[in-house]
Amino acid sequence: MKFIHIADVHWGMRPDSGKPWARDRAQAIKDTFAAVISQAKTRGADCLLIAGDLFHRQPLQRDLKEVNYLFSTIPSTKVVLIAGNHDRIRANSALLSFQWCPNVTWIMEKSPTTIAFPELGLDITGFSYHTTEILDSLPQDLQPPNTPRIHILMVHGGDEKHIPIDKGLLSSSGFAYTALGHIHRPELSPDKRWAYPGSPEPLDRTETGQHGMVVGEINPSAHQVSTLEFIPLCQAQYISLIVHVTPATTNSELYERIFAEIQRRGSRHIYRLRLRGRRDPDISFELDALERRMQVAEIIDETEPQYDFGQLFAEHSGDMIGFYIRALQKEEMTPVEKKALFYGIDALLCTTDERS
Amino acid sequence: MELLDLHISGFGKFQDQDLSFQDGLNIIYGKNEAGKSTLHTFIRCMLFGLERSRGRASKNDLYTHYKPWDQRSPYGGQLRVKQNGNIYRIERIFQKDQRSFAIIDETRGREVTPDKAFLEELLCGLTETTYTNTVSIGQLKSATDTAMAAELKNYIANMNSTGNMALNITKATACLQNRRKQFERRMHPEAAAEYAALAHEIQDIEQDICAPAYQNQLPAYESLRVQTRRELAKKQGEHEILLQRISTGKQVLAKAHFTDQASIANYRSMAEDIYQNYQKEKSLCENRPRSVLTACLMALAVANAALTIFCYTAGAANPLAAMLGIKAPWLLLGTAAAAMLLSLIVFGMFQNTRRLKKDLAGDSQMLQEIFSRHLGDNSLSEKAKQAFDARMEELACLAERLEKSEECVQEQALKISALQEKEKSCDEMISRQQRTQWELEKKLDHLAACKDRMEALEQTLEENKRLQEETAAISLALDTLKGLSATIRDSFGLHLNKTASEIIRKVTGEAYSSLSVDEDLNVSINTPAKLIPLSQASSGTMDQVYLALRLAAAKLVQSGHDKMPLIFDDSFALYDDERLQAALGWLTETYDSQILVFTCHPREARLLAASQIPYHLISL
Repeated sequence: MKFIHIADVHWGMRPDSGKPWARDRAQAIKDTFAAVISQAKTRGADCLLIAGDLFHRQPLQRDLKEVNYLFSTIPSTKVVLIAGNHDRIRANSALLSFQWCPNVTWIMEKSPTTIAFPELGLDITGFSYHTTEILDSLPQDLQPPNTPRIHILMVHGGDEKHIPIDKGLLSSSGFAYTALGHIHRPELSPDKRWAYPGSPEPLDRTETGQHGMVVGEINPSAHQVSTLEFIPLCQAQYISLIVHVTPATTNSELYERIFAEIQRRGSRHIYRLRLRGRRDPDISFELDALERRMQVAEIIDETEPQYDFGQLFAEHSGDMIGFYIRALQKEEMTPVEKKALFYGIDALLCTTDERS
Repeated sequence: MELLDLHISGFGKFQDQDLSFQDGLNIIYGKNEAGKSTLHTFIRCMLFGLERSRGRASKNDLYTHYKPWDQRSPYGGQLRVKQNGNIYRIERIFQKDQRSFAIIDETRGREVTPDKAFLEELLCGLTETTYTNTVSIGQLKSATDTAMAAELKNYIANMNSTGNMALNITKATACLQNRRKQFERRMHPEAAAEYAALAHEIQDIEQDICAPAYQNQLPAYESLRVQTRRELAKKQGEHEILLQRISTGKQVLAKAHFTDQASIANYRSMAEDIYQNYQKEKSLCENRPRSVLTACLMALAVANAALTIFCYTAGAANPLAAMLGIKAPWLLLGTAAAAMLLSLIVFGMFQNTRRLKKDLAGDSQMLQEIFSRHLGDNSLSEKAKQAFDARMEELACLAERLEKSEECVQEQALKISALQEKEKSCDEMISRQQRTQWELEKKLDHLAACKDRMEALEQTLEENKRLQEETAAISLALDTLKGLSATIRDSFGLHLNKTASEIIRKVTGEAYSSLSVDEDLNVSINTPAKLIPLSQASSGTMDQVYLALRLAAAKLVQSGHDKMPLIFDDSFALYDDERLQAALGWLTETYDSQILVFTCHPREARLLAASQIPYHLISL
């Protein structure tokens, strides 16, 4: 029995709002979901498990129609869904009156419910969110029904406010496989008993690394997962780069270095840059051009001007600069204090150049 | 430091000019345009260098201003000075393409590297700014000028702001404030308010859409509608069948020319009557003795008629009469009468029979018609009658059933219309639900837009936070500077007060014991008896205080044992002779280093000679 397991698609989300590529990101989420569907077709998956948060918000009729259309293109794959905290079922949900195509089963119940798929020799147990949070962990005595079929559990959660999960228990549970959702970073258990597929597309700049789906196969006689692998699908990744500078680093050199690195890693990705090290006090890094030409979400400049405070202090021990250094410099300065020191020294040194 | 002599290769109007100074008071006398300021500037530039300004400022800068008039002479010169017993020769060329700077230690006969530490020692710790602000003194304001007090206050403020004049705290502060402003300009102060407003709006919308009115009851109503429709279809089917049955029944009745039960009953009783009559008439007709009687009566009537004729013909001689003993006329009359009577009876009887037969024929025809219509057979018989009765019974039953059915149909119609009503209300509810769902989707759309905006704002707020850190750092820098300058002012001010007080005591011959500068930089002079605000002091005193403060500052800012020469550039132009004499007197007394006085008046020399103060005169 071949299956594809995804979660946290967040259809309808618009990451990086305000950035020039925001629309592309919103589209990428939909495109990658469509790619999962076509993968289900080409791989001949028997079932597609979507472990919650398919939608970023309460889905509208038109969202359901879009998704349902995609599901209708894989009539021989059983699609089983549960609702997560983002697309939880509310009393006014359009979901309640939506007519899915025949291969789609949305387990809407609040408590664990088992749906049988006799033609696949498969029982799927799952439940949907009706509230923003579920503080209780899974029931201790949650066991699959006593049938000679393969048993799969679908759960959306894993943090303290959304069904705390003891992964050890999952490995020893009566279910052949637990399809998890909610955590956006992919994680596959070594014993192939459970997996977080992560979100198919990374959804914000903290979600670095590969994203995609989980593909697996369950042996119909042994009722055990025989293969389980992560397949990357995402169109772009968020990549954090730490760039070290020296007092010799100039703006153009830095620009070229980062530009080359981004080109090497792929300009379709979205980058966060963190500049570290000591810079020439006369240079302040201005990388606006980089932000315009590349997908750079954020540049955090943590560089410090290369002042030799010892030397400065020796030269200016009797004047304002000396006093200033003495007033601010100390062990373990806060970032604000450090910056204040740099700003003040910079301003004071600036005025020495001027003749009156 | 003492200036020994100088050689100008080329500087402004001078070329190849030599000038020597001596220890103590030097009066450099020259008329206007003689080059006093040039000389003054030359000394400053030899000490501190002359850089060319960049860009547009270079048009009117010192460098351009003092370029040698004779382009062939090199722009620069030499200055020999004595410091701590050593003689140094400072050589500088300012020309931008052949700039050079060298210091030669003439005592030891070698070149000295002019590094920072050496220069600091040589220049007694003065920078160019402190030099211009202290030892190099421009024109002193007239004591009669009422603005003197304000000028003095301003001077103290500048003096007090920092020990090192080069570190212009005001400028540094302005620079920092400017940077902070730049950061603040990049901030979005409205973001927080907008964020709060959005959060509020989102909360409102979320509350709104949770209202029961927006609950999705479509599935419930749809299943109700399906159920109602099913029921309705069933009822309508039954109704159809019943109506069909009624119409067939009605056709059957109509074919038999009946409308309802009553018409059947009427018809049936009519047929029954006819049949009864028919039976009676038939039995009457079939009664044979009656016809024998008629024949007998007829025969009797004929016999009587024959007898009458006989009697008539026989007349009186009627044997029969005789025989009977009755007179012949009476007999004749009698027989005739009998014959008449009998024939009347027979006629009557004939008539009767004929009518009977006619009735019978009529009835049987009617019966035949009835039977043929309802049975298809016109034979009249008891069996036919029974069949007819059965048929009528059947029709009556049918009519009864029809009536019942019609009642039933009416009931059903009511039920159907009720169901239709229910279906319609379901439809209405569903369309209302669809409308609310549509409204809900609009609201959800708006909600999504709000949330997207909020996410974007979160980024802005984050950026704001980052910028705030920068502005906080700058604010901290500003606060630190302010605090430090206050501290320095306090300590420096204290020293200044102390030194200036000493000078003033000396200058005024103990008339004033000290002076004090308060936080608002108001200067007061202390007499042993009372404190006099400077504004109330005499103009002469004000001059003394001003000079005293400058001298105090000049003393304070210089480090080391040797002091820089005090340079006055036309400083006493506004002083009258008396005051000038006094000032020069106490100047030479209080300042024990070299003093250069640039002047365009010969009176300084005259007054000094008069007061027997030694001096060296240099005429340009």
